[in-house]
Amino acid sequence: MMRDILRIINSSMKLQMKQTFARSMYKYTILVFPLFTGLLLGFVYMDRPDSDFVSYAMIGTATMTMWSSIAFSSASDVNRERYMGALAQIFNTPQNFYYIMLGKVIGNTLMGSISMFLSFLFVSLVFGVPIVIANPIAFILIFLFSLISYVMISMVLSGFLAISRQGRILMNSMDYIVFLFTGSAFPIVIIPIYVRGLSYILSPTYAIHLLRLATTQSSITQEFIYFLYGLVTLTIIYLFISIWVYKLLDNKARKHATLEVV
Amino acid sequence: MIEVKNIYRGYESKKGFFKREKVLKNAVNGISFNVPQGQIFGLIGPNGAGKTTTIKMMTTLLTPSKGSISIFGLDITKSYKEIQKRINFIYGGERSLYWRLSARDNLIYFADLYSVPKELMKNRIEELIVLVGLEKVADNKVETYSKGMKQRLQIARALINNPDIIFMDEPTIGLDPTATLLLHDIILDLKGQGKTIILTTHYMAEAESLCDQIAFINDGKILDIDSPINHIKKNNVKTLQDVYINHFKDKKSVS
Repeated sequence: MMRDILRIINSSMKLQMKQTFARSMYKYTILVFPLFTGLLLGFVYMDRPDSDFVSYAMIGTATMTMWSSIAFSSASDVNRERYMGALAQIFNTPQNFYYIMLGKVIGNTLMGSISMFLSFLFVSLVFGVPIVIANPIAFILIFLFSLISYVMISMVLSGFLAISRQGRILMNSMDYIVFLFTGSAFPIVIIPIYVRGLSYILSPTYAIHLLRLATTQSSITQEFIYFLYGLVTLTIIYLFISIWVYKLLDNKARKHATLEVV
Repeated sequence: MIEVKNIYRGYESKKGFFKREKVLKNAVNGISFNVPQGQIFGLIGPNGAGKTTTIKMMTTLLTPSKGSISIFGLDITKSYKEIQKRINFIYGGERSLYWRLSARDNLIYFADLYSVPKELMKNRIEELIVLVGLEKVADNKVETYSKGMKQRLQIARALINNPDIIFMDEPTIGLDPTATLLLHDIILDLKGQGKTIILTTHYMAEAESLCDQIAFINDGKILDIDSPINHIKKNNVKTLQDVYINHFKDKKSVS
């Protein structure tokens, strides 16, 4: 049983990565877009202390890059496959659609990691700011856990998009939601208090803050634990929502033919 | 093997820009028929008659609004995962493939989705590639293929799980005569193996030569079901084409 699930996830992941490499638009998303974002944030923060530069220009660029690659690509893949006619085809196989899509999202995550690493390196080299991480182990662990969290958000988004064709509006605005509300480009305290609640239901807010703490502090503080708790809790909530969305999809898609172009 | 009982299926769409109105259109209006194992069953009718919707319900992609469909004695709304293991389908046209990948990559992926045992997978894929005559281009990207080659790949994909029932919605559309003959040979060979085939087509000669039973369908209703020869006799004409013209002479295609 578990072997079958892993086979589906692995196969969908490989297919996704092969497809992605073959798409010229994705080269823009994975290579060019991160460089532009890196340059933009780099110029904004170039006169600030190194700690601010690393926190916003480097971690901010890396997070935005990662987010664009995983969430945006995963959601737009649903749409693309719908127009190709492949979405209905793979949905109608004996496999659980959740695992098929999970494989695709993980494929995008691995591609996003490459993009994130490149952007991190690019900003460091262009602006001559060394990458100094006070607590590298915490940084790596948080980075890995934030990937899981992004995968779960992407599963929620892709599920909603498969249920409703109108989900495209949500997909196209997701990039900006993360740029504006998660503290990737500027501290969230700047955001008006009445919309700040949105920041706290998005796990990138916690992931970015934790990465910053790991970059600047060598010890684990109370604040670190508080934000880690937030990241883990939200990720678990996303997991349950994604399972629920895909169960809903299984029923709605057959009833309303949402997997096809009408 | 397949039992379709009084099925209905409606589609909801929205009309208007400011004042959005819901419009319900019934694509299938109370269809019933049975298909025994090993038969080639044809669904014939003009565009918009309800053939594709009927096929989509039989392949478990859509649920009927009313009525029931049973395949292998299993209800399609409850046991669809069990049914999906033993059926496959071609929805027609060139879509439903990953164009940026090769034919082999497409077949490997679908073999995984249908849990084809690893030890059988390589040989089955090779056999299918040879069967549809794509051996020289199997590692080229699908986007470089002609329409006919994509259609042949669809056929190979539909056979990847060695299904008991194959649903083919206009499988010869756009194929040249050689490729059409090749597909006819494949269909007859599958019938020889005891497989059941549900076929829709607009080519009456094809339906006449392949099908054991044909259901003429219009406006989501079945007009008549019989063997091609009986259809011809009943209508007192020479070919199935004439039967079609008799049934649909006043019908203007909707798409």
